[in-house]
Amino acid sequence: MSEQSMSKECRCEEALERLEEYIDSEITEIDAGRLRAHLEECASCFGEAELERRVKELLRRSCCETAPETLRMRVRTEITVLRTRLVPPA
Amino acid sequence: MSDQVEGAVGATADQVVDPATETALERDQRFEAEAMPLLDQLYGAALRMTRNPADAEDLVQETFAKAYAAFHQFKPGTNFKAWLYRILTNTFINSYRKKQREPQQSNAEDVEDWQEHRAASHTSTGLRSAEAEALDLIGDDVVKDALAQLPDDFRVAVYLADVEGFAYKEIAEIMDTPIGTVMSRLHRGRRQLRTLLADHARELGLVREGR
Repeated sequence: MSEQSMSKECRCEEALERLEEYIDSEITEIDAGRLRAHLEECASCFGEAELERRVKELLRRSCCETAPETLRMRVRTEITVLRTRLVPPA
Repeated sequence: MSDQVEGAVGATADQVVDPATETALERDQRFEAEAMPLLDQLYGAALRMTRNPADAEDLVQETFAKAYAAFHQFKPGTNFKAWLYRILTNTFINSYRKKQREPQQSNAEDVEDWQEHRAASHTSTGLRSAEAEALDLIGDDVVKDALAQLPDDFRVAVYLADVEGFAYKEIAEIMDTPIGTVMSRLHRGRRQLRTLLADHARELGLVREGR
């Protein structure tokens, strides 16, 4: 019985293995709770989780682009051309 | 074109129209309303994929043309953005990747047991967690350059997950690969990225030399 409850406790090995799924919100709420409980107790895993989170955040904020206005026009022109080709006038 | 552009890539709660009864004009307007607001985002993705603005513009134009031509196949009410990214990714893989002159990095998914690798150590990947603050000092261009150094499959997976926020299941459909492969690509891509960023941070003296 006590062995079973031990196995339900999340340890470093499992925490590190599932850290990305946790950060990416890809695990169940129950598993996330177990992982969170482990992160609260283990400074090392907590640090690793923070790092994952920061790299993810860094990517998100670094990759913002605005399309050149010429591309917007090219796309519209292309669609207009396709429209006349694809849909014969009724 | 052999690109697959079926419409079933996830579902959203958009209002549902019946493509069978709508006029060509209505469909054009619907395409315009759904696709054009995604132009900047799609260009950003194309730029990360092709790694140069000229190819990125061509890729986006081709993607919009294909999407417009196949729009009748898109199931209203399903995830349009994922559908569009699937066309983008297919087009990139089928045409642009082949013609790029840089020597192609190996995308072979060698069967490294990445879970085991991860579990081996708390600090297996470049930056140590105590140095996470250094990340805030790294500029956008450095991050983009680091991303550009990743193999295509890793780069695309990481981009789709971290910049676009797609779920694993959506990335699997966009890249036409099993979820396990998506997870492996994400893990390995992120690990390589962290190593590259750590190298850069050390060069700048943002973090101390490795102990």
